[in-house]
Amino acid sequence: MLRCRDVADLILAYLEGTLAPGERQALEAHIADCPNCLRFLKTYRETVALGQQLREEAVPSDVRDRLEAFLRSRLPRSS
Amino acid sequence: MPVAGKWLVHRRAGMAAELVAALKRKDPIAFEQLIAQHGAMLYRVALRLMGQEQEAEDVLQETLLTVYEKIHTFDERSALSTWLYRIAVNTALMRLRAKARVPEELLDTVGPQFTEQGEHAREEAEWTLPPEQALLRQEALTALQQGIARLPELYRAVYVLAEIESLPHQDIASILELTVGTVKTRLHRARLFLRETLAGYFVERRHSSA
Repeated sequence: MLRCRDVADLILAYLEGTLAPGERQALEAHIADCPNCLRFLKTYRETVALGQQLREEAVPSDVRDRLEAFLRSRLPRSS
Repeated sequence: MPVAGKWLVHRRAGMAAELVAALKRKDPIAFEQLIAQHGAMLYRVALRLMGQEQEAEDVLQETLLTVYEKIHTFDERSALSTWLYRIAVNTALMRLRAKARVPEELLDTVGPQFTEQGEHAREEAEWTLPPEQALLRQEALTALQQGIARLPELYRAVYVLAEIESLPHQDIASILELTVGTVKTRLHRARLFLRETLAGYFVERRHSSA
């Protein structure tokens, strides 16, 4: 039988899909009966989802221009 | 893998090899190509690690210089992107260590509290906002970014590479010279810390909108 502490320790592996089938079933059975662990799972998942929204950072065009100017000023050009 | 897929993998590998060869010849166009192909990922990493645009730009410039000076040492056994990540992260970490460090002990007791029997000692809060509140979601992202800036440096590096760059744990372990187990532990603790940061934001919003 899993305890709430075990669920917290296994949550990363659970969300990555790397738990053994028996462990996954035991975790899901515990969460089905434990509102606290269900809320923990939901808020942990939301934290992960929000972090993944930071993936779309492009290089601002002015930063890129300055980087290219920096390269031209610092790196020797071939003759 | 279908034949067309294999061809595409070979073609991309060939293009990557051509870029590395041009970089090793110190071809200036190759360095501009490097920015075009890898600039976004290096900028994201530098920005999330340094927490500030000017410092991120400084890290990028120093990274490009290091690439220019050390490209001859790149042995091509790993992907070029992995090597670039390693340089950018190490450059950022060196700058962060020169500043006031966030103590790693900050994360020692992060996460839910449990009784001796292993049950939750406190009730976990619900914090889902209605999906149409896009502005509040943007505010949550700002709160998250502020939380990331408060992570101890090595936890921040693991989090940025795992959550934002979505690198496999093995690649992160290689870049940061950690074991995969340590990568997973630090990612988990970073998430627990950020979850608590966000909980403060969400619970406050829920009360104010009630």
